[in-house]
Amino acid sequence: MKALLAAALLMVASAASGARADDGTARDGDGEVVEHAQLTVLPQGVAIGAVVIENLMGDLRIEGHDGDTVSIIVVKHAPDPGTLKRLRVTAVSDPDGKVRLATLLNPGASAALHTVRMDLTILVPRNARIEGRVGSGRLEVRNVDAGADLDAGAGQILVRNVAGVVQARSLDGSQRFEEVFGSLESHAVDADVAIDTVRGATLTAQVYQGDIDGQRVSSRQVRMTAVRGDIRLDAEPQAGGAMMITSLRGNVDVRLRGGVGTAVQARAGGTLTMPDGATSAGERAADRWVDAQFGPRRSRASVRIESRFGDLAFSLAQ
Amino acid sequence: MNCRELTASVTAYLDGELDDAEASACRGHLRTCPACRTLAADEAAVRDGLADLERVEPPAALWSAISARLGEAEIADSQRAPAARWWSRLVARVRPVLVPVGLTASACAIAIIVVQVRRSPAREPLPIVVPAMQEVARPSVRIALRDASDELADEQRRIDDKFRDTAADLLELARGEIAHASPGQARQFALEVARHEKAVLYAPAGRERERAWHVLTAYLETVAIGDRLALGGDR
Repeated sequence: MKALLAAALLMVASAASGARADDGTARDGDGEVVEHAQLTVLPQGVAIGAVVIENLMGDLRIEGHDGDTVSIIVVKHAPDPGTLKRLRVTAVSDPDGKVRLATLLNPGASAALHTVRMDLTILVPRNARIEGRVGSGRLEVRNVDAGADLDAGAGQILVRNVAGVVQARSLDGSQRFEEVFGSLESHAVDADVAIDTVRGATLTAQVYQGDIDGQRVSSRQVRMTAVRGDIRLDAEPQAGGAMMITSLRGNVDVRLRGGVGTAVQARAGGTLTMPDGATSAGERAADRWVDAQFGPRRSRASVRIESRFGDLAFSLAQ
Repeated sequence: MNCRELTASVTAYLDGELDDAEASACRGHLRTCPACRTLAADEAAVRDGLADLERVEPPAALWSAISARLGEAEIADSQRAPAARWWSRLVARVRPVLVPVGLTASACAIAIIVVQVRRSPAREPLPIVVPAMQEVARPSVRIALRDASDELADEQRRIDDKFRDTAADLLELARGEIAHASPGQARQFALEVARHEKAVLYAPAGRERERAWHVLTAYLETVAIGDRLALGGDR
């Protein structure tokens, strides 16, 4: 049985600045009305194992903590008290331990979208699985251990210090991942993707129009593709692992480090740059693929790199 | 005599040019009409003022020139046909009567037209400028009152449009790859695209539809870059 907790647990916290009204709101320097509120969701019999949040009205920040509750800090901005009352947060707790949060704009007197805003900061149990969605606001997830499933329109996605499977999708909002320990799957249509320090079974980054920049990547299976964008990767291949790095119309620059041997296949429509010291190398004239092997033969990682119409550079770090 | 007739005759009356009967009629009207008395007094004052001005002798050549022009006119009149002379006399006589009659007739004609237009049950509505201007003004009011919920719906449409444009571009690129694929791979590609498009079509707006779009575009990207696995086998 679902329990609607929002109304019962809504507590008005402190107002940030300016003259504070009796109803818990305050006016800032620009004359808009600001309300700070806090909502706490307690576990209903079973531990909270998943939190699903949708906020199309502003930013969404999710942070793991050591407790077993979900705390929601809401900051509402509106041009007047009447419009402020239209901004609502609903919280529904499922019996299976899933908590669903959403922001709503109730019907009322007209107000332009740029004049209203709701920013949420959610503190969740560290081992709860996260599902988050924003529109044009920023979506940030930190310090959780059960992975995250994230969607954004034009908003930026930022993931930091997260363990577990992470999936992220955005239309034209950039994505940035730092310290992800688990499989990562990223898809952006028209935006850049930046990855720094990712370690997991698989890493998939796919972009239609935009660049992919990967640093300190040590996932076992790595797959990066861009249709209209460049790819830069600094990675440490895993023994027996595989990498496929492909750009259709952009340039590709791959730099590998570590002591694992690699079997590399490379092809470029433009300039192809390969390192010296390959134990064997040859060019198959028919399809212009270049084969090269580096390092120990045992448990070599398979690396396939291609730029159909751009330049390609492959190098090994000493 | 009425006021209009007196206005036409007052100058001749003051100059003593009217016969006894017309002069008597003028005097009778001036006795009973204060407005015409005022008009006659003003006219007499102007005449007295003009009489007080110093006389100026015209140059001798002026009268000679006027006399010559009059002579030319009289000679021309003498050479005109009798019918033309008769017509000129008639026009000169009826002109004072024709002008008021013509004005009255014009006013009557306008009044008749107006009455007919108002009585006509099937008349077309006249073009009205002011309401049209009011109609132009209304959209700006609506724009000003546009609500955030409408803008959120617009954002959803923008997302759909951008995904649609992206998918169209990717489809072209993917078809370029499929042109070099086997018939079985091409058939598999068509089936996959149809399946993903159907998922987009039937997904409810919001997160579900956006995810369906992502699946479709990701698949097309995979084919566009020439991934052999996406095409269902080695090429």
